[in-house]
This record gives sequence, structure tokens and C-alpha cells, in this order.
Amino acid sequence: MLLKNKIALVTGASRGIGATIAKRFAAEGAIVAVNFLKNQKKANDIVQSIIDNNGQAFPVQADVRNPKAVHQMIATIQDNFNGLDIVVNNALNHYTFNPKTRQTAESIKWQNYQSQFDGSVQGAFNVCHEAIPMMSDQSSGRIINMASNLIAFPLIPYHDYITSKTALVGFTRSLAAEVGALGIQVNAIAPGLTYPTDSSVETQNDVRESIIRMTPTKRLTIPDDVAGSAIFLASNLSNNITGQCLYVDGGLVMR
Amino acid sequence: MQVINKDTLKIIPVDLFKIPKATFLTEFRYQSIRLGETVYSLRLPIPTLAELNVLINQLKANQKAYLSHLKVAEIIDWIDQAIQCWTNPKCPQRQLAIKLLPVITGYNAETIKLEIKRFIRIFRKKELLRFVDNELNQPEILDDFHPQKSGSLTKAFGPQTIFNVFSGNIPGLQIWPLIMGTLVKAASLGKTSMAEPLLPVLFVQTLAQINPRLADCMAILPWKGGTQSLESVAATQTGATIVYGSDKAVGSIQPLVPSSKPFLHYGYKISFSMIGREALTPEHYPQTIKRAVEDIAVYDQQSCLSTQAIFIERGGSISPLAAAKLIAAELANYQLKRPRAVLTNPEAAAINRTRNQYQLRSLNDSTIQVLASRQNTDWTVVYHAKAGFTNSPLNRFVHIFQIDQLENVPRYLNDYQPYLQSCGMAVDPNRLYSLADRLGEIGIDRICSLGEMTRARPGWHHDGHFNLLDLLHFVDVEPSMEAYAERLDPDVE
Amino acid sequence: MTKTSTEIQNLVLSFIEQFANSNSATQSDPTFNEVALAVFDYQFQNNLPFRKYAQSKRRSPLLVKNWSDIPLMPIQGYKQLTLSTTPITKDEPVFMSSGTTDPSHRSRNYHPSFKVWDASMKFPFKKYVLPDRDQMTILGLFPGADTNPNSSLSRYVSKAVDYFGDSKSRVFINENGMDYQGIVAALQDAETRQYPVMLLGASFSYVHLLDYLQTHDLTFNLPKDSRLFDTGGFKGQSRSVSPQDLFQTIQKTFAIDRDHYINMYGMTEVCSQCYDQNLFDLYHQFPIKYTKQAPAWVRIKILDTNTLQPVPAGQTGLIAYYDLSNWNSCVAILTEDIGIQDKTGFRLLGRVQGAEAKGCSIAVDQLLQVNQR
Repeated sequence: MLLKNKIALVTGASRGIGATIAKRFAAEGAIVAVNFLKNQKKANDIVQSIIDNNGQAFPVQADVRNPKAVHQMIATIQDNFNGLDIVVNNALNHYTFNPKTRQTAESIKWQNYQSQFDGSVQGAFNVCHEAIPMMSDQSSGRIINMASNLIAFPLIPYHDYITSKTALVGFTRSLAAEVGALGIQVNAIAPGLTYPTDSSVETQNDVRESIIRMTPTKRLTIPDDVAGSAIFLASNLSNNITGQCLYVDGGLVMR
Repeated sequence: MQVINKDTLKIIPVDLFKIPKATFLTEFRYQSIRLGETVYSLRLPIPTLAELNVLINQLKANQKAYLSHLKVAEIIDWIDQAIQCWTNPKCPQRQLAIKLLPVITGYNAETIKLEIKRFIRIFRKKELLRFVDNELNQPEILDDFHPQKSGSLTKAFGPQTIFNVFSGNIPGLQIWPLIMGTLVKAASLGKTSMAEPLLPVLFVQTLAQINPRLADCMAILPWKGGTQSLESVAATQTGATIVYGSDKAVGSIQPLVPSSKPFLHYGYKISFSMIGREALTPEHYPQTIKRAVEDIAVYDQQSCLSTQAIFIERGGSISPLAAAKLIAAELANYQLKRPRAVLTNPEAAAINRTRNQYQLRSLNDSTIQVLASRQNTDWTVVYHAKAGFTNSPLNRFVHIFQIDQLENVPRYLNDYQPYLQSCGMAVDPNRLYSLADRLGEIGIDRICSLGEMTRARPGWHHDGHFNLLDLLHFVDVEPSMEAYAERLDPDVE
Repeated sequence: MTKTSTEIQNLVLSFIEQFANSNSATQSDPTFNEVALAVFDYQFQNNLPFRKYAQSKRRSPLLVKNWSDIPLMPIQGYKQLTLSTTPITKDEPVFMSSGTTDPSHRSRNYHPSFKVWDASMKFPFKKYVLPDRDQMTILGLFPGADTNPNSSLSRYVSKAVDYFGDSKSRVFINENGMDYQGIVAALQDAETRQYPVMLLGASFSYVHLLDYLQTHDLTFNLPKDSRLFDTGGFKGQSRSVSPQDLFQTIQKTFAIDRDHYINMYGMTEVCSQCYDQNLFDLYHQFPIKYTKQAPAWVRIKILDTNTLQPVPAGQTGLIAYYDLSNWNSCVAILTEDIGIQDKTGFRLLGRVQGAEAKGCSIAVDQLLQVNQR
């Protein structure tokens, strides 16, 4: 097991990519804090399914946009386990990837941007700010931020989403540069269109098919693909890798 | 399992002793070290009392016949030639040392390679000239009578022979007393420690290639420390005794040395470091951390010059706690770069015990934090938010004390005063001398830059005293005699 | 569900009774694990400093599924912390170590009840010390509980005499010192009337007794089945004697052979004892082994001094001691004793030595020694 008894926090883990990461981490031996915003029932279901498979997990509610709530969440982890090894910043403000209803450059408001920044960048900031002191006590830690391959290839210009995810990669690099000396690695994963998830169900079939046509592996990304890379970045397999953005999109973006 | 092919195996004999021509040792035991397809067969003597007596007499004779007639400048020249050999990477003795010492001592191979290279350079001619100059106003008084300001003419004599008891903690350290003795024209009998019996032998071998007669004024051999019969002969038959090592080693030899003869000893010492806030700016702190770790990691704190505790001042742009965490992470990196030696059971148990002690304390005392490698004893940092002082179980275990003002450091050192030695510092010039003054007052005898603690200069007043001076006695020819002799000159008017 | 202190004691007691005479650890293994986890859970909930320590090691009953994963409390914990699952009451019995290295820091092990302690002492004593009989004449060479109420060994000696001593048994040492003449008289009586005796004491008690006997030129030819019991080393004593030398003198002085010499391993911090198994083997006509056996409610692991992970059989390391009868403090303890284990049992090689640096750099241990001089 690659993550035996590591303490991992996955934000936005009640569904989609976050839920899959939580399950796969637990299968690798991690003790997983399944963070959720509203959907207590879904989070409980995830935790139960982990426990049913002999894993270790517990649900923890917090709005990552709220520093106080994040402080409370991390304090709970500290009280119970006296440490935190892995953070996956996966939460974001709800976003629907529908090419037909998206905001255009003309219609979009700054509030749209702000709301995405709050979910992605501020959320990651709040969690990292609380997690890093604990990780530095251990001289080790892994932070994984969820970006998107759209930042390199804005196939459909979801302006607010893409801008905030691009900022998140900047945040990743800058943080990595400073906390590397404390033994903490910070990386990002940029998945391609991940299907099926709640956010992507509205992406129409023709769009999906056109992406598949352009993709070297001739398929879309599935949550398990992303979880595999997350395990890699969370485990000792990725020792000495930091400040990187790993594209998990079947080769749609190559850089 | 490695397959051993006896046909391709090469066996190289290595003697772990060096004695003058015309002397003999008859009984030996053997150890072997295998490196790849080469087996080094190490020969260690088991000297008898009679053999040791003969050896010392031969050293005396050789000293009288040769070394006593050399001038200091000539001695320095000969030594310099040997050092020049060693500064060449192709020097066969140096190559052998670099191969075998990591196995013999357990220290990281790269550390040994690097540190020997650095160490040997401090014995270049210019450095030796500085060294004797530092110790004696007129080094020439070792060669002849020279006029003094008092009016007398004075000459200095060293002992005819010196019995050196070497420690084995740091490879090569033995060369220092060996050269010192030679500079005062004493023949040297060096007893090496089993922990490192090789390097002094190799150095004398080099010297023998350059000047066999000079090398014949040195005998290097190991025996089990505490063998009283041998040590008693060595201490009574030679003119002076110098012991490096533990209080135990010192205590076992001292009673054997006749009170009429010089006895010098360099025993237990503790060193520490001080990091000022000016070294913790965003611009400087990464280097400061690296330097601090160097003083902990080189030779795994087995040298008394290594730091055991670090005072870190508040008010820098990173907090003392943050600095402690950075030091911990850097120690983890260092472990990957140059792993610490494998420990004995007592050494490892001592680290775990001390870690436990502080971990247990930290349960009820939030001013203490233990930062440590997981699953093993590779490195440990104990952070103390309250200033204080304590020493460490060594082997990359350091205490870090937060302190408001470095100027307050001396008040925490009282209990340890007799043992204090070096202080590595990171401070600006405005504070350096006032801090040095306070430290000197309580007995610290060496202040150097952070990161250089394990590399003392040859001119250093070792443990606060002169090095050569204590071995010498002086003969003054007073003005009355000079004048009187003039009058007795048959040719005088 | 976390158990109450009565429930946990009963659980351990029933384990002791069930497996007191089992000769194979595998027989008790599944139950041992179950009880160990229950005790751990109980201690985690009720012993706050232990809980904090376990948390710092990231071990909680939620996660620990195997007894060998229970966090090991270092011996120092008994000096630095108050380790008890029940509130300490006034006049509660407490055993204290004799201040082996630092007199100001003595281990404390609290005993709100001795039910488990007594059971844990009684069965193995019978099995390993008196395999051939139910009672014998015990001559105690260590102060009893009345003299020394805070010593676990004193209670042990008193209980041995209570449970297994006949009417001629007694303790020959108290606050006034050793009653040498009494001992000599008792030994001579045994010799004349030909009944076996057991000398029971700490290693250093023998040193003093042997000195006396030597000065007075006294030797004995003790009757068949006499035996000699000793425990402990020479921790903190003014004089140390090698075990070989001691045993040779014992053999000469009392005419007791190696097979009738038995050594016990115990400490203040735990509630059980381990024994050499030679007497057991001898009287059961098994091939004689001199390694030590732990009772069924104790597991011994030998740990690498560097990694604190178990070492393969036949390698030396620190002894980790898992003891169900230690229900009130910590079920798992990291000792400072070096041992070695094989499939027949384990051997005690002594206390881990203070680490000594190779040269002039002084280590803490050495400084302590220097300052004590």
C-alpha cells in the first residue's frame, strides 16, 4: 500500500473526482478526511463504502471559502491524528460545463470571476495556510491542487473557470518554491474533460465526441485516471517532484 | 548473494603500523576488508613490552642522530613535501585512505573524501610557518640561542620523544600532534585507536618516501586502550605524553606519567552555535540553514568542534521555529546526500531515549517540539521555545533554543562551563566582538563562522592554550654569563 | 464499547485463568489480541497522558487492529508522566523504581487493586519456580512488603512466601539489614534435617551474603531439589560483579547446580514476571532450555535500536514488553533492556549501555556520569 496510515484531506470529496480520489487513497491505506460542503448524505455514503472495504475515513463538513470553517476542520484532524500528510484541493464553486449556456466575453461579469476565484484559489489558500504549519512539523507533506487542461487549451472558453484554474497553477508554483525547503511538495493535476461527473453531464455528446477525436488515446478522462495521478503525487513514488502540473487528458495537451 | 570468484580476487596487504628501520614486531593479528574484487588484508601488531622498549630506544637514537640537528625551517620543508604529495589526488596513500576509511569508520565516503582534502591543506608550508610564528615570537630559538629583549640569549628544547595517544573520532586528526611534535624536534610514538588506525600510518609512509630518516623518528602502532603495561612503559620512557580522547582515556594514562614530565590532554568538549536575526533575512536565511546543518552533519557530531545546540534569535524574518523546521528538512536532505554512519546499539538507543524524553515532555509542555526522521534515528531536532542549554546524544541530534537576544546566551551556559569549546556564529560585525568578549569570559576558546565549525585552523589555541609552548623548556644564557665568558676569552684585551 | 475498570480487570483475570497453564502462545493468540485491544481502548479512553502519547504516535483504537501496533510507552514515561486509568487516591499503593540512573526521577506504577497483579504473579511462579511441589522452605534475601511497601519486588517476595512458603519460610532482611546468622542457621538446619530450601533474592543480595560466608569460611551442601532464585542486575549498585563470577561462587558455596538456578525478569513498570525455563524442563523431563519464558498474557518483541522495528530471531535489540496484566497504566512498554529471542524463548543481555562517543565530543550520557562523580 502506497499511503499506509497517511492522513489525507480531500476537499469536495462527496462526489465526482474528489470522491474517487478519497476511495482510492483509502484503498492505499490512507486515513481519509472526506470534506463536503452541503451534501452530508453523499459524504456519509462515501465514508461508509470506504469502511465497508476495510478502509479508514470520516466525513468533515467545511466551506473551504471560509477561513474559520477551514481552521475548525484542520483542528479536528489535528486533535484526532496529530498530523496531516496529504491535502487535495479539489473543491470548487459549482460549475456547469455546458458550451451552449456558458457566459461569453461580452456577458460575463466580474462577480463570475470572483466566485470562481473564491472557490478554487481562496479555497486552496485557506486549506494550505492551515495545513502547512502541521506539515512542516513533520518535515513532510503533499499538496495537490486540481486544475484543468483547459488552462493550456481553452477549447471552450469558460472564462471565469479557466482564469481561476490558471491562477491556481500559479499559486501552486509559487507555494512550491517556498515550502520545498520544509519537505513539502506542491503539485497540480490538470484533467481533461472527465466524464461522467456531476459537472460534466451537461457537456453534450457532440462536444465530447469532438474532444475524443482530437485526443491521442481516443477516449475521455475518467475519475479513476485522475485518482491514479493523485496517488502518485501523494505517495513516495513522486519524491522530489514539486511545482509541476500534470496533465491527465489522454495527450490532448502536450507540453 | 555476491558470487565470489577466487581467481579474480586480488589481495592487498596493508600494515596498520609504521615503525623505524631496525625495529621489529613479531606478533600480529589480521582483519580483512573486501571492496569489490579486492581484499585488503590488514595487519595489526600485538606489541610486547620488550619490543616497545626497543622501539622507544631506537626513536631516541634516531632523534639524537638526525632530527635534533634539523632546523625548524628544514622540518617544515620536509613536511610540506609530504603534504604536497597528499594534495595530489593521485597520491597512492591518499587514495588508499579514501577507499578504506569509510569502511573502517562508518562515515560517509563522500564526506571523508571531501574533508581529508580540506584537512590536508591546512598543513601547507605557509600555514605551518604561520603556526610556529603564532606560538613562538622567534621560531629560530628552536635551532639556536637568540637574543631576547631581556638581554639574555635563549634556546628552546622540546622533549626528545613524545608519547601520543590518538583518538579515532575524526580521520586524520592525528596528523596534527604528529607534526607539532616534529616541529619541536621530538620523536613521536603514536598509539592509534582501533576506531581509526590508518591515516597516520599512511602519512608517515609518504614521509618515508621523501625523507626516510625523518620518518624513522616516528612510530605509529595500535594497541587496545587501557593496556596498562604498555602504556606505562610508553609514558615513563618518553619525554612527554599527549592524550586525545575521552575523560576515561585521559584518566587511565595520567597516573602513569611521571610528574616531572609534561602531560597534555584534550578531553571532553561541547560546542554550540548562535544565529542572529540578521542572518535570518529572506536574502540570507537559506544559506544560514545550510551552514548550520553542515556543522551538525559533518562527521556526525563525533568531533568536539561540532555543534550540539543552536541558539536562534527572535526578530528575524523567519521565526526560530521556522528555522528549526528548515534545519530539520535540510537534515533530511543531507541524509539522502550523505547518510549518517550506522550506529551501535547504545548509540541508537541513546537517540531514541532522548527523543522519547522530549516527546513525553512535549505532551504537557507546548514549548517543546521534537522534529525527527520517522522510522529510524537518522536525524533529530528538539526545538525549545524557552531558552536554555543542553547537549545532545550526538549522531545528528541537535537542540535548538529560541532566544530573545543572543547577548543573553552566556547566562544559560553556566552548568557546562568546563566543557565549552567552539562557537559557530552568524552575526553582523557590530555585535561580533562584544559577543566574542562575553563568550571568552566564560571559557569559550574558539569562535568561527557558522558552517566551518568542524574545520579548525592550525594556529588555534587548542582548548585555549598554546600548543608547542607547553612542550618546551627554555635555556637562558644571562647577560652576566655572556659578559663573563667574553672576559675569559684568551684573546680578549 | 470501552470497558469499565472492573470489566477490564475481570477480562484480564479470566484470560489469566484460562491460559495460565497453556504452553503454546499460538493457543492464546486470538484471545490475546482481543484482550490487548480492549485494554488499549480502555487505557486510551481513561489515561490522558497515554492517550496524548498514542495520538502523537498516530495510534488510536480506531486504527489499531493488532496488539503489536499498540504504541509502546518508553520506560521514561513512568518517570515523566502519571500513568493511571483511575484517579489517584490518597494512600493508593504505588510501586517505585529504585532510581536506577537518576534518583530524582523514579518510575511510578499505581495499583488501585492487586487482584490482577497477584494472579499474574502466582501462576507462573508455580509453573517455573516450583514445578515439582506446592510448597517449600523459602529463605527471602530481599526486604518484604512490610519493610518496603513501594517496591514491586518486595511485594513479590512477600507473596512468594505467603503462597508457596512452608512454616519454616521467612524473610531475612529488613530495614536493619541482613540477618546473616539467621540465614546460616536456616541453611544448616536444612542441611542437617535434609529438606530442600529455596534462596530467593536480588542479585546484589547474594553478593553481600557471599561476602559474609566467604569471610566466615562457610560453605553448604544443600539437600537435593534445593534451588536458588535471583533477579535483577546490579543497577545503581556500588559494586558490580559479572553474572558468571557470581554463579560460580554460588555453585561452590551452596552446591547448587546450574539446573537449579533460576533467574526472573521483572520490573516496576509491569505487573508480570518472566522466568528461566530450566526448572520447568527439568521436572517435566524435557530437554533443558535456559531461555526465558513469558506467561501467556505477555508478549515479548525484540526491536532494532535504530528503527524500533522487530528484528529477525537471533538478533539483539531492545525488549518491547506487552503485558495484559498492566491494565491500569500501559499495556505496551519499551524497556531499556537488550535481549535476544529464538523459538524457545528469550535471553536478557542487560541494560543498554550509555552511549559513548568515539572521541572528544561528549554525549549526554557521559556528561551525566561525569557530573555524578
